[in-house]
Amino acid sequence: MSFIAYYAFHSFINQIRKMLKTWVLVFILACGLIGGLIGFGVGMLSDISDDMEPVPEPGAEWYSEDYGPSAEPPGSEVLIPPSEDPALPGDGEEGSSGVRDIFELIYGGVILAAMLLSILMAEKGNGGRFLPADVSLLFASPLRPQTVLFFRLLMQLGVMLYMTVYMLINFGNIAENMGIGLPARIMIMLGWFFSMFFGKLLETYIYLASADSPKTKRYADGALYALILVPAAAWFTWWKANGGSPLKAAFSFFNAPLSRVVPIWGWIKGMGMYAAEGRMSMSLLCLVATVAGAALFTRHIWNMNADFYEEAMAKSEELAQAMRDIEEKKSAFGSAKKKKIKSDIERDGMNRGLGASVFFWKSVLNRKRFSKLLLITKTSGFYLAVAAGVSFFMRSVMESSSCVPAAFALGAMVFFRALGNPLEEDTKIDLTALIPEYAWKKLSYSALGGALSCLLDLLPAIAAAALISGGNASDIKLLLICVPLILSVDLYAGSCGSFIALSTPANAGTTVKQLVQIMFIYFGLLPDVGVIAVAAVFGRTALGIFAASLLNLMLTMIFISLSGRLLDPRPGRPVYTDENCPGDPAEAKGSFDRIGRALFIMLAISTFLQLRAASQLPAGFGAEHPWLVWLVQMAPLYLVAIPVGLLIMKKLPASDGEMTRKLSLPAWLGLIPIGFFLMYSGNIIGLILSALFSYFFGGGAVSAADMNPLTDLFTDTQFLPRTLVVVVLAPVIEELLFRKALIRRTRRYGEKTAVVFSAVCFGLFHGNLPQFCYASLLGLLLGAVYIKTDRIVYTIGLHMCVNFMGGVIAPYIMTLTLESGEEGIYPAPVLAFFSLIVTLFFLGAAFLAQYSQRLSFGFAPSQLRPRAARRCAWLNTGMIMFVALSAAVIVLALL
Amino acid sequence: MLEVRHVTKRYGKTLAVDDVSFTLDPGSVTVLLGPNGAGKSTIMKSIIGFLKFDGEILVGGEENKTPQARRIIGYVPEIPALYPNLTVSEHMEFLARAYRLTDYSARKEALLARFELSEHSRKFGDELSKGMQQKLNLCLGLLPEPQVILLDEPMIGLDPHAIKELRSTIEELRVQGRTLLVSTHIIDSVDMLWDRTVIMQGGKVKANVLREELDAQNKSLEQLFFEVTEGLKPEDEAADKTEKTGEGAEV
Repeated sequence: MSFIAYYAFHSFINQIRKMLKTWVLVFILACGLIGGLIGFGVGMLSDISDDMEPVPEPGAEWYSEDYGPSAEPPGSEVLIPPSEDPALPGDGEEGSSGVRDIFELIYGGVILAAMLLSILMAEKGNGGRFLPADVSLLFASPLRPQTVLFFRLLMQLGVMLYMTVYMLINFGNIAENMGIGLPARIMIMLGWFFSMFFGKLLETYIYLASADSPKTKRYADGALYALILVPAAAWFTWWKANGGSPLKAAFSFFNAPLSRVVPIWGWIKGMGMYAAEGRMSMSLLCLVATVAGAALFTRHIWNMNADFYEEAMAKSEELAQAMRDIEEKKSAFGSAKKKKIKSDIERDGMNRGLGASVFFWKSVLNRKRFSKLLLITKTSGFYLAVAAGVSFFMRSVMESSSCVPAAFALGAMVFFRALGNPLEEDTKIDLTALIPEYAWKKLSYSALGGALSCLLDLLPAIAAAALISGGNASDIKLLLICVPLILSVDLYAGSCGSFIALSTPANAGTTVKQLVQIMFIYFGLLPDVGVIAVAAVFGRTALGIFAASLLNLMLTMIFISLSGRLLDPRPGRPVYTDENCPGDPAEAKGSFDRIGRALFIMLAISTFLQLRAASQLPAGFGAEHPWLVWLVQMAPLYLVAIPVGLLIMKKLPASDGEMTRKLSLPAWLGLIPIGFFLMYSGNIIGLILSALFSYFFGGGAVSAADMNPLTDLFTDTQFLPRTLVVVVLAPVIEELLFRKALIRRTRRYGEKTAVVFSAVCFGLFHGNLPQFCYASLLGLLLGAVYIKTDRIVYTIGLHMCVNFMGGVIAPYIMTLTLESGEEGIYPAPVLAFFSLIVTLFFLGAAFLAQYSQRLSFGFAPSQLRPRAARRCAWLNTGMIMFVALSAAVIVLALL
Repeated sequence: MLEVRHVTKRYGKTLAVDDVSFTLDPGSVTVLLGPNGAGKSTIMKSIIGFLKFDGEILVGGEENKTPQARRIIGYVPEIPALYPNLTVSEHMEFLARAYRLTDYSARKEALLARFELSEHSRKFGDELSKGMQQKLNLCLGLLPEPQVILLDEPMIGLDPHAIKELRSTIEELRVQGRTLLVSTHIIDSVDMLWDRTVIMQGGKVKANVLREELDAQNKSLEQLFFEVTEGLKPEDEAADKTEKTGEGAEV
């Protein structure tokens, strides 16, 4: 079998090598690092808290109860007494066998699940997925078909292996708690491996058997249901017959010694459990039995008549086509399932929808075709069964009227169903690319259609849950609030899956893709859990659920936007030749030099004058004369420095773009969230950097409100002057200077250069680190808008909005928060503001991802090549002076 | 060496291959010709054992689907198929292990060098151009030193150097006593190479002719092909040409 090992090893290594070339692996590594750090930190914290207080280990508790002070410390090999007589349930203490019972139950469940999963996979025709290379290389080789099949199935273990590693890591803890020694741990892990192995054998067997006769597949179906329902029904009967709590009944039923006689399942379980109980001879006996069973089964499969190559070849053609589709960025995880075409469905065409919305109406039409009364589909039936079952269980067994478990179960099912790439069907087809709309629109409509379908599937289930659980009004209200949450999870998982599918390289194995997707989705849903938990603590669960739904929606938008970016064709990269770069570097350098000097002088004058003023004015001056103090602050800058600077720059020739462009109102409004996103991101980056700086170099942390040396003169009475300056005066003047003046004089050397240059100057001018960060980022947006539209009004408006938000609303909310924070209740405006910020942040990110892709700059009259442009712009006396001065101001502000 | 006996293959109601029989001798190159849909691919895939069929195929006396038979058959597919996550060199190693070959390193290096794949030996399967993929499939097919070699449209997509190497390889194998079956559309590519030709049409064998026989009749392979498949006699062809050019043409 060395060819299997060879392939597994090399294929895995090569997949990693390939992934290293893309961002995905970096992301995984980063997450791993963060996770490791968090774990390490938490570990340290818990160590510290452990040192402070001797907390008994959970296992130790029942130790001392049963064995008294002479108990051996946990972790060493200890004999665990066999469980109490299983024939006598009843409400005994969970004490001595509690942990072990639970473990055995779960372990048994896991083993069964592994085998059920294999049957399910076989039933889904998973075994037939051979690669084209398998056909030409392995089918033609002297290997037996069974061997080839087993090989391919083993390679599909994929995610199970990662789970194994994860379990291995965590198993140590559990074993510690159970106080079982090394031999037992080895046996338990061996049991796990045997479960997987048997699972694959089962899959092989079912595939081979059904290749010969298609009826076998249906038997596999039946076996699956039987393996779930029969034990469940048996347990139910046992429980009803013997009374006591359902959990106790489960223990006595599934963990009975007799259960270890059950072929394969019981033997595997016995291997581990006897070892845990210290009965190594029995454990070894179970091991021998398992190995014998495996050997017999293998031998039987070996001797089967296996002639499935013909069917496998056809399937592999499909797979090859799917791989080709992936190459062309049209598809994701593999061939889409073929829906059986029923002959009785109506085939009347669809006559709704225009543009991208056809994808929505297509979903509606599909729904009409493949469902009865719009509500009844296979999925909705399944959901209904689950919801009814859970609600019934809750009501009769747990005697609770809560509908939340049902909602949770439904949410989990929707989640797993959305794994994979539900938008694939639409992104896969060439027609999609032909429709002349932006990809994100098409994806959005497609996702909406999916969500509608999901909602319709959920309705019967929700109704059932509400009726069966017998809950009161508040229970039902909570249930209803869960519906948007479930839908938002569906949207999120779908859009996230689509993005991952489109962005991971085509030949990264399915395993890796699945892993990445699981990570993304869990990371995305973790905040949900956090939000809901926090809200629950404060007694506002419903609000938490709502907030979580909103969060998912935001993330959905981002992923759709990113996916759209991947699907839409990008403008080509400009090619710089001598022809289209006629600029003269010397002349450019001269221009930038002059601008640099102008900026330097402006900054010098304004800083100097402001410092003088601050030192001259007495304390308390600001409170008494609000207008005056603002005048004093602004005058040096606006009345002296800037006019001087403009004069210096006036000499330079200014140019406008070739055409001005009007932005429609919706388009302009769409820029506002982008501005916010850039502003908040920049702020965060700046704060982190300042914190780092002060950590390493000392000095006070900087708050974003620290704008200049006159801060201590600010008070509430200065609201009106402050507002006027911040919201009206400053934007106008800054725009006129940094955009109109600066860009018009530099755009002839290259539009991109001009935008970046003006943005950085804008940032530097603010004189402190957080503002540098966010002003630069904002400056990029404003510069781009100005250069593309040649209308300063747009940028002034944007700047005003941003300043209004940050300079007026934010401080107001801040004061509200501070006032009410003591009482622990946050008033509505605070919450509303918070939601607004979060919404705008995510909206901005989504829009940015979209617009930035379509942004392209033309060639300017004196265009310079990029590197030359950068050199001219920054490496000249004036700019160097300016940068040095502003850097000094920033550093001083940090200290 | 290779005996095909009354093989019939149906796909549903369509008869892809209808009672086909022929025998190939060791040390010979047989060219399988036929128009589209003649059943060439089907018969090849049946020989290598991918398909279920009625009839019998014996390779070296053994039934074709047994491991013993598969050990001595080599197959080079029409459309190259490689593993995206293995390199060129790893493909060869992998196949060697699947076939349980011993002492294959020298042969592997020689094959890769011959078809100019040595400098690409660390490229992944999906990084190769189509021509290189085909060459690799060729190397893989030849690595186990098979006695019977099936080549499905081997020349398509190969560059002139590779075609030259392939032809000389075929010649060498023939001299070594192996049995080769080459299926192709392009008659010119196999001229000079073949010992026997089997011409199929509509799933049936229309002609099974040795080279000596054809030479004796003074016909070219192309002429034979059109005669068999379209019922064109050489005289008809000449008449055809006369019609087209409008002038008297030499026969």
